[in-house]
Formats: sequence, C-alpha cells, structure tokens
Amino acid sequence: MRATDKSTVLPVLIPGHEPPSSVRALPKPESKAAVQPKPELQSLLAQQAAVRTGGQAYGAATGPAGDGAQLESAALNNAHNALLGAARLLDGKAPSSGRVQARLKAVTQALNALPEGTDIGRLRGAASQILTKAAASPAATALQQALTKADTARVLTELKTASPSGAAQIDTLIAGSADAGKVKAMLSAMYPGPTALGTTAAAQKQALMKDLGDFGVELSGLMQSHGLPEHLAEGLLTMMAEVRAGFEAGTTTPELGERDQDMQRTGWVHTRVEVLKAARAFDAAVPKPKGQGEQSAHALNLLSTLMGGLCSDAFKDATPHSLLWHNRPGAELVLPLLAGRAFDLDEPGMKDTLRTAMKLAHEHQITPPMFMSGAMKGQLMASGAAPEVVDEIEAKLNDPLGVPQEHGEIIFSEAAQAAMAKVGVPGWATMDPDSAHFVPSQVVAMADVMQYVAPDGIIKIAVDIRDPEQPAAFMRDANIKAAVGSSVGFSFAKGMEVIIDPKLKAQAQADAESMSHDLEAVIYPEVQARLQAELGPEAAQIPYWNQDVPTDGSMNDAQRASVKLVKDTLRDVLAEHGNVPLDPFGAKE
Amino acid sequence: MATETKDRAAALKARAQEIEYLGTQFGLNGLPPPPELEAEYTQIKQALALLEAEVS
Repeated sequence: MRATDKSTVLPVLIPGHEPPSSVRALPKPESKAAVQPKPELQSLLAQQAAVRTGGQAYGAATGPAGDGAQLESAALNNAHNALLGAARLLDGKAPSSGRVQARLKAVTQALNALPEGTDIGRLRGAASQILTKAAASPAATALQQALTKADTARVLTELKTASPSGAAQIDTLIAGSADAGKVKAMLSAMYPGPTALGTTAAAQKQALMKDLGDFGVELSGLMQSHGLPEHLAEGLLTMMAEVRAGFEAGTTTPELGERDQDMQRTGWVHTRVEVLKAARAFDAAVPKPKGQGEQSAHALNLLSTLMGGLCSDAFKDATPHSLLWHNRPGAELVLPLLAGRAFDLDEPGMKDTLRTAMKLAHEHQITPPMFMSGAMKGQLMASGAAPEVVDEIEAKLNDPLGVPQEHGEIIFSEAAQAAMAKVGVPGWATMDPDSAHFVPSQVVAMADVMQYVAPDGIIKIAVDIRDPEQPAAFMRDANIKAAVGSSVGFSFAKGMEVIIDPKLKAQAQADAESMSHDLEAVIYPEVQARLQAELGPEAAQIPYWNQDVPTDGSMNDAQRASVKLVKDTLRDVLAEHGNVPLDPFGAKE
Repeated sequence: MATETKDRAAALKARAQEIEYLGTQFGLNGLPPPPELEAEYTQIKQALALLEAEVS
C-alpha cells in the first residue's frame, strides 16, 4: 500500500516554548529550477521582516535576495515562523487579539505571494492545528481560505496523476460545472490528504473505526468472507477514513455556506452506513466463486462496489446543480484521488477496479428517476431551454433503463445535450444491463435507496425534514407515524423502481419488512414507554404521537412542545437501535 | 358519474402523494421545494374538496 503521509507532520507547536531548530525551516521546494519569483515576493519578504508584534520580530527567516526557490523557501519559513508566533500567543490571548490576528495575517500574506503549485501540505497541516483554536476569527478564516487556495494546484496534480481519465477530462469536467472555483475549493478543502488536515492516515482510520463501531466489524467480516486480501481491505478503510475526514472538514470550511456545511454532516451519516449496506447487498446478490481461479476477480468486484458506493455522494453541496452533477465529481475527482493514496494502482487489477468503481459511482445517479427528472426539468426551464428539449430530457431521465444508451451514458439529441451543458451537466449516466458490472451498479444504487427503510434515513425524513409547521403544505404530517410511513412506503417504492435484479429486489424487500417489523415491535413501543415516562401514565392522548395535530398553521404551544418531544424521542430510539451518530464529528460537545 | 368522480379523485390523490414525496426529496438534498409544487398541491387540494362536496 502506498503511504498516505509522504512527509512528516510538523511537530505540534507548544505555546510559550521556542520550537526546536528542526521545525523552524521548512524544506526548499523540489523543483527549484522551475520556480520563478513573483515580483511581489521580494517586497513581501521585506514586509514580513518589518512586521513586529510586541517588539519581537518573527520574520527571522527573511534572507537576502536570491533566486525563486530561495525566496519561496524564505517565504514559507516566514509563514511558518508567524504560525509559531500565533501559536505561542494563543496560549494566553483571545484569538481575536490584535497580535494573534497580525501574525495570522502575515501568514496569509506569505501564502498569497507564493508561486502556484508550491507544496504547502506540511505548513497547512501545522496551521490547521492552530486554526482550530482561532476558528471563526476574521484572520483565521482568511488564512484558512488562503491555505485551501494555495494548495489546490498540488491536490489537482495528485488527482491527475492517479486518474485513469486523464488531466484533460478533469479540467473539462471542472470547467463545465456551474462554479469551477467552488469545485476546486471544495476539493482542496475536503480532500487535501491527512497531512494537510493536520493529522495522519492512522489517526483518521482510528477515528473511523471508533465511529463505525459494530458496523466496522461487520464490514471487515464481509470483506474477509469474500476473499478480499487484507491490504486491499485496509485500503478501502483508508479511503473511507479520508471520506469521513473530508465530510468533517466540509462542516466548517469557509468555502461552503451554512446549508452546504450541514449537508456534509448528514452526508457522512448517510455514507457511513451505505458502504455496509452495499457490502450486505453484494453478499446477498453475488455468489461466492466455487473455483480458486475466479476468487481474485470476485474480491476485486466487491472492492470496486464498495469504492463506488463510498464516493458516490462524497462531493455534494446543497445546490440544485450539485444534486444533478455530484455523481461526476464523486467518480472523477474523489475516487481516483483517494484510491491513488490508499492503493498501489500498479498492482495487477487495480486500475480496472478503479475504473469500474468510477462507473458505479457515475451510475448511482439514476434513482429516483421521477425526482431526478423533475429536478433537471426545473433547472432547464429556469435556463430558458425550449419546451420540446425539456420534454426529451425529462422523459429520458424518467426511464433510464429503457432509453437508448452508449457506454453507460444516455443518448440525447444535440439540442438536449447543449441544453444540459448550459446548466453545467454534461450528460446523464445510466446502467447497462448488458455490462459486466451491472449487478454491482444495482448494488450501489440499492444501498443508496435502502436509507428509506433504515434508521438513518427515517430520522432525516420523519424528524429533520417533515414537520406539521413546514412552510410547504405538502411536507406536513398530522402525526409522526405518517411521516415515517412516507419514508418506508412511497419513498422506498419510488427508489426501488430501477432495481431490477431479482436477488437484490428480494433482499431489499426483506430488509424493508424487517424494518417495518422493528418499528411496530421494538421502536414504537419504546417510544411509547419513554413518552409515558416523561409525561406520566395519565397522558393517554399525546399530540403528534397518537393524536393528530393540525397542519393548517393553527397549532398551539402545547401541541408544538409535544411535536418536539415526540420527534426527539423517536430520533433517540432510532439512533440507538440503528447505531446512528447524531453528532458524528463532536460539534456539539 | 360517480365512477368518473372516484377515478378523478384517485388520480388527484396519487399526484398529491407524488408531490409530498418530491418535497421530501428536495429536503433530503438540502433544497427548498420549488414554488410550482406548492401551487399545484393547493390546486389539487381545492379540486379534491370540490369533488368531495359533489359526492356528498
């Protein structure tokens, strides 16, 4: 397995203590000859030398004028020294103090003047440890954004090296999206690698396994039972740990808005169990080979399935464009980048495994067809697309398995293709029943759909989304069991419309029945018991539980309080029953 | 006439259920539902109320 941390993390800075000389100077960039000094770099170094706080200069590394590499190295050292100063000050001062802010601003200045492509991974890692303390202050936010931006070229270069699609396709994909700048910033903010996030691959994996609990044990057991070699199973967990860390970074990164950030939290809650659901579905639908000769291919088939499921929703924000496009960056950006770190892609079979995983992540997008086609229609109409073109696209997205396709992409008319490109969506992936990876593709899509009959998805729908006082009348329910019913009933049925593999359909139905049984036999009785314990045995009628509440805006305070109590109780019981972390990154601690 | 009314009511209820589902889907993706869904849902509810009055 290729090492994820290619450089050592800078030592944790101890406020109030002078760091050892080994951490004062960062190594010079590798490509010295190619580095040209920015015109402003020389003056920046002079500025840095002049910045003094409390009479103490921290621009000590500023040296005499030299070539580009020397200047770049000096600027990096200055930035690092400023970080050390900020770390020392943060021990005793508020993050908003002028001296701390001045040092953070000095680091930002140094970064902004560095040549594009400078490797700042280690500096970024050291900074992330400090920024945790100084979070939300203006200079800290500016520094975090500067770090993300300055590191983008390195991350893109790493991605292009690992990707089987080629650099040109990646550039085209990003350039054709609705907001190329945001895409690059998200990639650099969420998936820069453990070092740049101020941690290590081992620490990320430890956090993952603690988070997964029993799920991790079951997932590892399924990988083992299907003959996946240990180093490849570990590689999958390394990727999963990076996805988790990416979602966590996304919850606070200033590149994303508040709704985008919260989506990363719910995205992880969804993904952490989707991988296990994919493993369970694969176990049910794909028989283990009888001969040793087929074992390797079978194991890699499982690996590509899990990789595809893992990354299918790993690059998503709360915008309509992202809803329609997120399968492509999941497949083309996140998957190769993380696979390149976690696996030796030169190992026999691994390049094909990655390519297959990318196809699976692409193809998961087709469900639920009715919703996706409607969402696409909305975007097209807003862009002024001709009605007949909108009709063509809507009809094809609504019947993804029945329309003409080529290499897993639906065939559209030229006008339709142009209309979709105008809204930043280059096409629509679908499944090919004749392809060798059809069943794994069905597995990945089904694992996504299974959220409707699983505790994590039911919490999202019945507790977080539906509410008797929702602004939209059609998102209100008179009681919480109706809200749950909409998830396990209609939503599940619509999602399953594209799952045609008989074994998978049977497995999904069995799981749905099991969830319905658990609701009636275990979860609802437990909710009833807890509500009764809270409200007393005399409380026979509990609004939103066993008594309807009005959904026309006339709810009173007592009913409102009961709705909250019922929701909180169901959420807690479901979370305990289904191993669902309500605060997966400890944000509320 | 009664059969036609029942069929019409069933079709409207089915579409209302689809709209309820679509609203949930938008919520799952962190998005507010588009206003045209609200308008259509209101029209359906009004039409259903008229049909019920007709039957009774």
